[in-house]
Amino acid sequence: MSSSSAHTFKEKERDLNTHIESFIAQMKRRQIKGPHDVAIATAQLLLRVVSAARWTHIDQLILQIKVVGRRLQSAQPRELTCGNIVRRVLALIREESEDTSDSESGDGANNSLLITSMFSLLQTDFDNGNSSDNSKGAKKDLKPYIIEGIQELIDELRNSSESIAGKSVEMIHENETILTATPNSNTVLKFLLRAAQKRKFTVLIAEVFPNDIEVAHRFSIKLAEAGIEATVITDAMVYSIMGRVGKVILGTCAVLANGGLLATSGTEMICQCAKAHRTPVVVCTGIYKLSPMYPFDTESLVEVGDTGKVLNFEDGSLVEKVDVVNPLFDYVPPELVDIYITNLGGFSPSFMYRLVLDNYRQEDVKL
Amino acid sequence: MGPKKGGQAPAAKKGGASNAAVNDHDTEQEERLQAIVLSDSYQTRFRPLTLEKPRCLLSLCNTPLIEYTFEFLALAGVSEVIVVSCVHADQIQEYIANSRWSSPSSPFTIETVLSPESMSVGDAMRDLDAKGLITSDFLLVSGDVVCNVPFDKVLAEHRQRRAKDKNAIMTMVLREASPLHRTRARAESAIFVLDEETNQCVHYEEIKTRKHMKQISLEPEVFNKHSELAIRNDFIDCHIDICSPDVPALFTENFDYNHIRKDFVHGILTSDLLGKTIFAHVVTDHYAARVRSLQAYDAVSKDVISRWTYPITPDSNLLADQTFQYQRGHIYKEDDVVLARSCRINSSTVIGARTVVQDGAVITGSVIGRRCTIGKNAKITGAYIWDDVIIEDNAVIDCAIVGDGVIVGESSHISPGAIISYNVKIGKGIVVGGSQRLTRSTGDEDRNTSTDYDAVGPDGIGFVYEDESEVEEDDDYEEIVNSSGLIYNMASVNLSDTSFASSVEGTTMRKGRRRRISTASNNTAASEDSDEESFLREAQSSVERAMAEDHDIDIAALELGTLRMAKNAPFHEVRAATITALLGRISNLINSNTMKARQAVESVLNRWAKLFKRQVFDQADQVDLLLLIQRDCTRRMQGSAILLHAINNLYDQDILEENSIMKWWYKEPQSQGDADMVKVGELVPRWLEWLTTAEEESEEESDEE
Repeated sequence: MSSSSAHTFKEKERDLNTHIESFIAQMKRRQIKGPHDVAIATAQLLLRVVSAARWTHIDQLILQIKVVGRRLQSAQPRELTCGNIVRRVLALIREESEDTSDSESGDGANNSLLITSMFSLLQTDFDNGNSSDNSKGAKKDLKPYIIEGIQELIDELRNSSESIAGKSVEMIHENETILTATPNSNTVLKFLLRAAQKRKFTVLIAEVFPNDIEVAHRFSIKLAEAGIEATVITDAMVYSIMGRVGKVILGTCAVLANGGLLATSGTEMICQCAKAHRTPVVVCTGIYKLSPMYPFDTESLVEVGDTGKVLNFEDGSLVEKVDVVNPLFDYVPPELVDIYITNLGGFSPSFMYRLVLDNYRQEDVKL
Repeated sequence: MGPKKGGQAPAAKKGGASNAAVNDHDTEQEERLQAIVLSDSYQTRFRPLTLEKPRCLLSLCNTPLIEYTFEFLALAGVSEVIVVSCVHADQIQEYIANSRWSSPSSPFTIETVLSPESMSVGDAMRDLDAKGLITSDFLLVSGDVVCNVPFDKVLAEHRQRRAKDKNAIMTMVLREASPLHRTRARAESAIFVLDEETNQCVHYEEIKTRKHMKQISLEPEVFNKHSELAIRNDFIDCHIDICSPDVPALFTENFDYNHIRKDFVHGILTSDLLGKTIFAHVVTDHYAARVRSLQAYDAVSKDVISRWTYPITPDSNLLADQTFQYQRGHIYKEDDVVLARSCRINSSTVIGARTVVQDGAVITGSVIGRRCTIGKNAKITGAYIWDDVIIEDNAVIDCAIVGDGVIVGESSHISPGAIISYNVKIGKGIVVGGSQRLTRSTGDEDRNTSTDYDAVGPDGIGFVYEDESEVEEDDDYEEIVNSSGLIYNMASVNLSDTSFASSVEGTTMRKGRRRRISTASNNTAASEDSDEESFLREAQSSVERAMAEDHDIDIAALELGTLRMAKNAPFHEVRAATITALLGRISNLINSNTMKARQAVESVLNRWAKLFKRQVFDQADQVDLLLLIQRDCTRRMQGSAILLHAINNLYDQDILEENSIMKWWYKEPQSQGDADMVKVGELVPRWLEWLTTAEEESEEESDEE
């Protein structure tokens, strides 16, 4: 490590930049999409960033990650998981550095350094003499810990839907009728498939026109292959059928700090129907989808997709005269959700803010 | 999308081959996919804008056109791009060198090839063949394609065919659309004859708008070879082709091939010797279009704004320094846009960074570039305003293209269709006509470049651009005149299919025909045209005979109907013939018997107007009928009187409805088109006044009851 010259370092940096650039381009092209894929891609990219990074003080690393994070986030601001993972990694770095500094020098001097982080960053030049050996020692120790932490995070991402599925048997009763409207969610699929090993139940799948019809059909086939009685229904049928539904199980794209969520468009309508019928709404989500953002402006969170899915482009006269909007997500307010099933357990929407505090640092909320 | 792919993606990001590798997986092909981008259009439709900048660098929704093409190639998984440039090659090279596509993170390697002598696609292909750059199947696109079709399936199909049959040299990607779709280039529509089963293209025929094509001829053996054929005229053909290396070689062999479709595809398909086949891939979802005319520029801009091209939309911020954000109603704004409190930004609008919109300005469905200033109470509708433009107070811009650095003076008015090239300055209170193209550069130095003060005002800079090169290409001249404008007689196109075919074409054609008769009338070769000519004459004489011999009205109608079927003439022609005959009789009566106009009209129409009942079906037809009468009356003595009484009579007989008359008079641009038309209609307003008051009175009466 120490023998690596400035030349190879520069090359490494350029290499890293290439990775970041192509990640951004792929995000823009929607070649990487969906919260799960984005989360894993982001984590792996940050792993590279950390392993390539050199720092004398931990705040420099944090700043580097923040700069990269900001770039990644702005590539596709509506893909909230990308920002979540960056914040998770930042929290992890902060935690590691606090742990080591706590164990090495338990006095309050270093803690105050961390609180005024920006100041201390500028200050390092001045008191390099007394703190350099301390921080250098910390750096040597920290890198492997941070890398290990990110790898654990990636493992968590990979396994989250499994651990959510583990709770399915408690949620689904024998002979229950389940309605789901998010056929694009792998988490829900695994959740139902796991439950099917122990229970016999019926699943109704709303087809969520226009963006996910094919997905809904594939989803129902997978369920049917596992021996679940699966029925695809049109979106308009949801209200009339709700009376017979025991539970609504949803996946999500992002959960917000107030307990609301973003999911496939049409979900809010279904949740409203469920509320009218007093049907419980269960949302399955990995904790990585939880974002520390509050939905002050819900419209800016909703991505608008391909118009061609709604209206045929062939129809020239309509194309000219009609403005078509195809929002991909719905914002569902917290009062319409009964419980979140996460890989850490079940939580009520009102508890989400607490999970935000557990997982993210307040100073990272704004990247 | 499973989690696997996402896991793979970041790991497989090394270099550019990753996407191709993913795509190739199915077909087990190790070869890399090359793409040839023809940066030159070999056309002059965008002049004078393209005098200073190549077409592919013109900005579409604030992003250079070629970015859309590269983005498409990146999506398609291309790993090697060769850009062929001739005119403005230095600019293109410089742009590419500074773009993200030549950085190591680019998904493909990029190379610019100069081909300064090439004057057509054919020349460029021959040049490429001579340079030996093409090693495998490649994607041939031009630098103005906007497309988001996922390409792996198309490519797999092509490769499968190639593996089976080495003679399948080309796959054309065609997007389905209705014939009058705004994104279809009206100038270059074509008929494709495809085998329903295999999608093999067996015949290709370019449609010349001028010639009013009625038939295509197919070899009889085509029907023996293929069980089902589809003859289609509903494609957006944006010239995205997957070609085998044979294609450039064939261009070299046939040195007279210039156009990829007109010459190459047509030539290959009609040649028996070569035995090569060409296939089509018909795309029914996703977007594909080419900015090949100004009118397509308008349409594609609108499509990008209304997100047909998703994910290639302004808010994807294709360029690194862009910061567009989407807002409800398809409004895209960059950071640092300053909007006055009282200005109004309506839907489908794009506004670039550091643009200032001042009080009371109204912007609707327009694209505004960066660093522009929009003055107080300015009104901008459907316009394309590029960077650094200053629009002063109270100016009105309507469906025009305004190039970089233009200054539009106070209270000036730019009419629909105008094009204002770079750095032109338009003075105060000037009205720029719809067909005008203003510029400061001529393209060649030796021409006079003095400011035309009539066009731009005493304090303006710039002159009217006239392109004499268009005149030289006499073959396409009329097409170009019709199609090169930003606005393509939208009013008449919108009416309906039939009126597009008849009224617009009809007028231009008749002019052409008259000219031809006067010069060389014995030309029997022009069979299509003489067909119609003969119908008009026969139909007219049929009606005249019926009147002279006092036939039964049903028999006359039957005779007309049969004639129409036999010649396959549109109803417009039938109406034209009938009107000529009837009005001819009326004016005869007036001239010979000294009958009053009113009597004459009544005597003829009371008896014969019922003919129209089988020729006029809806409002558009009624408007058409009125136009025909008006046009015909311009040739007659006492034309205005005849017109007035004819309308009155037809109205009484319920052949014309009030609405259609109103529409004809107030809405139809042709009714006020020229001096003759206006003159002949001088008595109409008074009649309309009577009509409306009569209407009101009758309403009042009914109210009293």
